[in-house]
Amino acid sequence: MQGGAGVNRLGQKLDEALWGPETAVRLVFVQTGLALLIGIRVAFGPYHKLAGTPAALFDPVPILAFLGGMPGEGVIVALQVTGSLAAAAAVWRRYPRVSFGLAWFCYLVLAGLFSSRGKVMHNDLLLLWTAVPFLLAPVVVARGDTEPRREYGWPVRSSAVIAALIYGLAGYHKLGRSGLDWAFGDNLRYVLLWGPAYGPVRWGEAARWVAERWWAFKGASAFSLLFELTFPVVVFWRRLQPLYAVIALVLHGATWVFLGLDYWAWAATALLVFVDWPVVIASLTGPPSASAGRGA
Amino acid sequence: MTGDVPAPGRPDDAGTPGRAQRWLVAGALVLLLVPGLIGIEMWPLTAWKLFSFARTDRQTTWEVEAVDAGGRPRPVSLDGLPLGYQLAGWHLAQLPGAEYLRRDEVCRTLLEAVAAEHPGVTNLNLTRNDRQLVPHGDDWAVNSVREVLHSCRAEPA
Repeated sequence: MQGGAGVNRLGQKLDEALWGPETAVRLVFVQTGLALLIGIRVAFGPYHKLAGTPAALFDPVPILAFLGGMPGEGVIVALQVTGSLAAAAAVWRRYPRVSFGLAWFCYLVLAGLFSSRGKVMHNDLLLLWTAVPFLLAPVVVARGDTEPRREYGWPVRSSAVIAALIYGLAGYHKLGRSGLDWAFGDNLRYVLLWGPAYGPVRWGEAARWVAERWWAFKGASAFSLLFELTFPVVVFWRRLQPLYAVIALVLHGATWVFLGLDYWAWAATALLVFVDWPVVIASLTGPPSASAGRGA
Repeated sequence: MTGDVPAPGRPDDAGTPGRAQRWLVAGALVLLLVPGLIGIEMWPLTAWKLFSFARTDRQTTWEVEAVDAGGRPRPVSLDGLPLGYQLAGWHLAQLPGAEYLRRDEVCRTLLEAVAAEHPGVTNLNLTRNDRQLVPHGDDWAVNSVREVLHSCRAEPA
């Protein structure tokens, strides 16, 4: 009987994690934020520069395997313009399902082309994946409705589950391929010392400082691995979500400063999905809304 | 600390996601978890192996050397080439097991781009560079052992 009750409780928790209630304003805020991020990536990404990629260096990702070569600049720019306009329409909630879907599709193709140069690129994948539930998000939203409802909650909740699992999988493979040595060996020391091989380092002296202090590089790598491995717990303990989002911001900022790796889209996505911004804004600007005080 | 569990009959029980929405989320989770756990790379399905190999003091990189008319080789940064060429190192890493024609195709492709940036280049070497970080006083130095995998010559104008 106890086992059955446990399964029921787990099922209930999973149900809440994926389909639980949120306010209409949070749904609109997150979807608008995702559309804005997609629009920025599509509009300002260097995709048009891919046009000169020679055939010998074009290695299409599976979803673009039908392409015989990198598309011309006209096609890529057309995708960027279309995706940007669609994202703008989604931000202003004009035909939100169609416009959000079109922006997401253009972004998928452009990011796919960016990854068709011989290396799996992850820079855009968190944003692409967390946006998936919003492809079928409610179109008619009563923004004045302050009552958290499941019909508004499921895109936000399932998007958060997807993002948490992605971080968890990243930690899982670190542990699987390198074991605890990833955290407690000299791994991060050499990552930092080899740093320039990965990209333009922003603050080489700081990287060197960390690399030459065992407690700093081992502490940082152990914390980083623990952070990724435990990220999925925020699915059930949602009050931890803002904390994990802030840590994600710090870690992605650190990889940019120390290694020159640009993961700002990951940091922005995590902050958007895991922080209840309407509640935060309401608490800063005026009397708390009806949803204030709920778990983030 | 646990998630909010609404009591039955509360207003938020209404408007639960429909079948299409549930299938979308379930499909996304399957497509995320199966490649993620097994380790399949089929972008955008991926194993999320970001920085998963522990780094050591040794590192192998694949590089390009431009050779001028005097026969002097000098390394060329792929980051200085157009965007479509900047990840060529990943293609070079696949070349040891590739046929001669593939090696030469990649070499000539890169030579064309390098010659456009660095006039006077007559040959291009695709090299494997086995590097090791060693302490050097208060600093670090890199010992490099380069091995030319393939060379190609510019066609006379």
